[in-house]
Amino acid sequence: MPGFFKQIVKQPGGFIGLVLVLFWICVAVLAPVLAPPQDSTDPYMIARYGFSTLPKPANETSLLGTTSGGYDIFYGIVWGSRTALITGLITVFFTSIIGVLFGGICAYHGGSIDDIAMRVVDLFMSIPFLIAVIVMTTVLGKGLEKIILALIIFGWHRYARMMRSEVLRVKKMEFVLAARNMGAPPMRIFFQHIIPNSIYPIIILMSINIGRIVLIAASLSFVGVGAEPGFADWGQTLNFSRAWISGIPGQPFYYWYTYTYASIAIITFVLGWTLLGDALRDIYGGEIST
Amino acid sequence: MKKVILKRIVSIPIILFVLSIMIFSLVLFLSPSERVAVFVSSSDAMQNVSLDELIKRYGLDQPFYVQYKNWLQGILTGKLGWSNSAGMPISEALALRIPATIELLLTGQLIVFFGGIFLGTIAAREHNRFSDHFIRISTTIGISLPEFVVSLFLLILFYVRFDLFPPGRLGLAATDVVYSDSFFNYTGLHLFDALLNNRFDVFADALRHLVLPSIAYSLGGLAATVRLMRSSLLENLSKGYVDTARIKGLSDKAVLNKHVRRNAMLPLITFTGMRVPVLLSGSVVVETIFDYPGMGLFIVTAAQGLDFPAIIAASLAVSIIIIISNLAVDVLYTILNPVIRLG
Amino acid sequence: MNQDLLKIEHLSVSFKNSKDQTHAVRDLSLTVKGGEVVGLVGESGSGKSVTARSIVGLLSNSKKTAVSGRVLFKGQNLLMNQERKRLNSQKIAMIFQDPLNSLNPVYTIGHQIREVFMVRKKMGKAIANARAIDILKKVDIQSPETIARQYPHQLSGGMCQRVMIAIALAAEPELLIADEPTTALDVTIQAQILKLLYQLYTTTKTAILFITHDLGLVAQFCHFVAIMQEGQIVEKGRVSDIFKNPQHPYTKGLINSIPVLGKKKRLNPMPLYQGGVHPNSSCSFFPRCTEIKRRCEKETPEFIEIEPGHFVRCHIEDGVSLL
Repeated sequence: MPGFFKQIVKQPGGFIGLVLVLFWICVAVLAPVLAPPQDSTDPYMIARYGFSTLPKPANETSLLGTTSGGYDIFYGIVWGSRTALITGLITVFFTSIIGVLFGGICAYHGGSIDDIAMRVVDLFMSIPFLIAVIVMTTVLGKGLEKIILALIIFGWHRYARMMRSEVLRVKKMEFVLAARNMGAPPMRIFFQHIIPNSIYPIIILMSINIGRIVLIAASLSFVGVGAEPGFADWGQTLNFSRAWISGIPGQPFYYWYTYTYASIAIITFVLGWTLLGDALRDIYGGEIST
Repeated sequence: MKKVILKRIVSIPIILFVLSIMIFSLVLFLSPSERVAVFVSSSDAMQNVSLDELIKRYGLDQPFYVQYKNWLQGILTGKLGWSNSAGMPISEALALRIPATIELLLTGQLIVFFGGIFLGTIAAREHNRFSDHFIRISTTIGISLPEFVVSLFLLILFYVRFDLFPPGRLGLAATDVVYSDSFFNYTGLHLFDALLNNRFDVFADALRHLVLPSIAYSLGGLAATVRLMRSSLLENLSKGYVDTARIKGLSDKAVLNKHVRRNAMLPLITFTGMRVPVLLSGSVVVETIFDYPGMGLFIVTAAQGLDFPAIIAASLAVSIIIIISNLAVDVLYTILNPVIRLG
Repeated sequence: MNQDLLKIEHLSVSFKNSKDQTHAVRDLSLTVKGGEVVGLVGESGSGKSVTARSIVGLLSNSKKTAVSGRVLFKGQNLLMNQERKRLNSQKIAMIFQDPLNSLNPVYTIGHQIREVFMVRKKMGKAIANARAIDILKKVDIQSPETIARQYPHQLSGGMCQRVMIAIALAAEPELLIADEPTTALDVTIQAQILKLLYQLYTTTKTAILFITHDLGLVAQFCHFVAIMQEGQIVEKGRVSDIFKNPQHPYTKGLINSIPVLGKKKRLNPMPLYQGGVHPNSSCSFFPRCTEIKRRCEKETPEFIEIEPGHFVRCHIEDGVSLL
């Protein structure tokens, strides 16, 4: 394990990525300390100072200022990191398991099962991700759980496809043939031999996808079809700033604080996971297209 | 080759059928009153009639396949329902929005494809020298830049600060022209129509509005195609036929342009084609930020207003666009790659 | 006719990678006269392809490649200047080992042959097309019009190599370099291609530098032969002399390892390559030599002329074998 981290740290990209990721994990974990909730029953509702639609810059009560609706920006950023991590981790966890099992088992079996499976994956691949998620959430209703569900439903196919090509590659290798000859049951071969050897590209994909998923979720909230209004989410925070982007006449950046902090949060979070994934890819080598 | 294409064309109705069932089954999540809206084609029809009446009239208490049949019949005859969020029949809304998104899509794809070829060739030619390194680093950054952020940045910089490129699709003056009687809308794509109508002012105006959204749209893809073209070129440069070409006496430049590029371009075509679903998703964010009245913005407004008929019709429209685009890419690739064409 | 067409003088090529330098070709000198067929024989990695590529300027241009020496073609040094190389490539043609990969997959055969005429002789498309069909006939391709419209992947390996020969001939070269032209082909096709090359040779009297690892082919086809090992020529001379009177232990080993049909003899493979050169003498064959003499440990062998035209790089005469 420590050797693993050392390798990541050696790469400049990997080092930066790791720092960024750890930073946001700390922020998320320490959220209750950094930004004590106003309403203890639902800490995810962003603290509000007044109901004014006009954003206010940093002052004594709010560290980074408040955006439209009186929502505290600092609070939104801090607790938004929790939302981001939860969304990202849960989604990636489930999509990868579903995708790996589906793609892996179908590829291992081969034959017509594999053909049908590929058609299914192809079908999902043609579905525009964001649009599908929007449609689903409209029909299912608002709320973080529904968003995550939609993300999982339309996101697993990436892992299926990658797992499939890995399994097809590993299937032909000597030690698998040897195990089969010995009469080892297929499931055992699958879990003991095939999965450990095909798992690295999946892990790389997972890392990069955590960033991607959070970005999609943020886009959802940004356009207003994500979580409930007032929910601590970076996209939401940006959503509140939409009307104020043009500033006031003569001072176009007057309300810069409404969009800058959230943007930086999103960028650094996504960048961190992407760099981490890139570093992993460099370490484990091979041509992996994501 | 013709056989392959015919097979694809034949499979389209099947795919559409499956997709339409999938989309329509979303309706099951809705309450009856919401479902009614999917069938009704004008807001007047819903007034003064009781819910039970409507349910009976549109057969909403029938089993699923009957409802589906009714809906499908309606779709095929052009009755797509009424959109509350847009305030007009859905078919009208789509007729306006689809060309807008297609125009944006095409512009973005052109940038991605040709930009990729151009810059990728430079990067490969200047292999391991300064411009190559510069291009490599900027493309790495470019791939990880979220569309979101790029759009906001561009809007803030070029509109808010410099007032160069405004949001929306057309300025007021141009809009008047386009909707007047003397302007014929052949395709709905303002750039084309403006040229066909000899109105360069409309053309310039439409172009001005397209600049920022299409850049925001295509930046990620451009970064990817540049890298793809570069590696494809470098890979091809070590192939045997390059030696043969050099022996024939062709200059390095001629070898690159005449021999290598044709081969290196092929993966780009597949890649660009595969991006269409991604781009359509991206259009949601880009169109929202730039207030560009295309399918993306339509879907978002519909979603915000819980406008189910619009959502369902839009999903169908988007699926059709993707299927057609996939077919077009396949055909193009088959034409350009003799190995596939002649087997 | 019998003047020196190609004269390689003390050619050395080395490649630098991250760790060390590989000396692919070391102090190589070779002459090909007009109308001669000269064979260049060696194992994989002996440097024969690198030699061929440096003649026509196909080495990669990177800073990591170091080339020294002279390659004179009709008096002009090809290594000097890219432009001059272009000029002189008009008279030199080359065919490669893997014919399918040496053709561009997205252009028709006809197009690729036409290109030679259009580039080198500045002909128009129609005339070039007619000439292309002609040339295809000359390389024994039936129904050349059909073939001209086809793409490389539709042709067999043997056909592709014929096309490559056609492309080479279209340039009307004075020197043809054939880099292992039959290695990738079946034995029967091999014989066909060799027969074709021989026919063409007798009609055009083009000088040929025939690169191969197969000494048997050299015996059939070449007038002169040079044996390469580890980047150096270790023996060169007339084919008849070399076969009758091989001097270098490597040459002897090669000849002995040719399986002979009919004779009940055990196969005599050469000892495996051990790698590296002896630190004191730079004789590259030292690790595998079965006739090491005391002198071999201290002195680098130079070329000795055993008989007129027959050169050997070895300490032949003096000393008793240490083994």
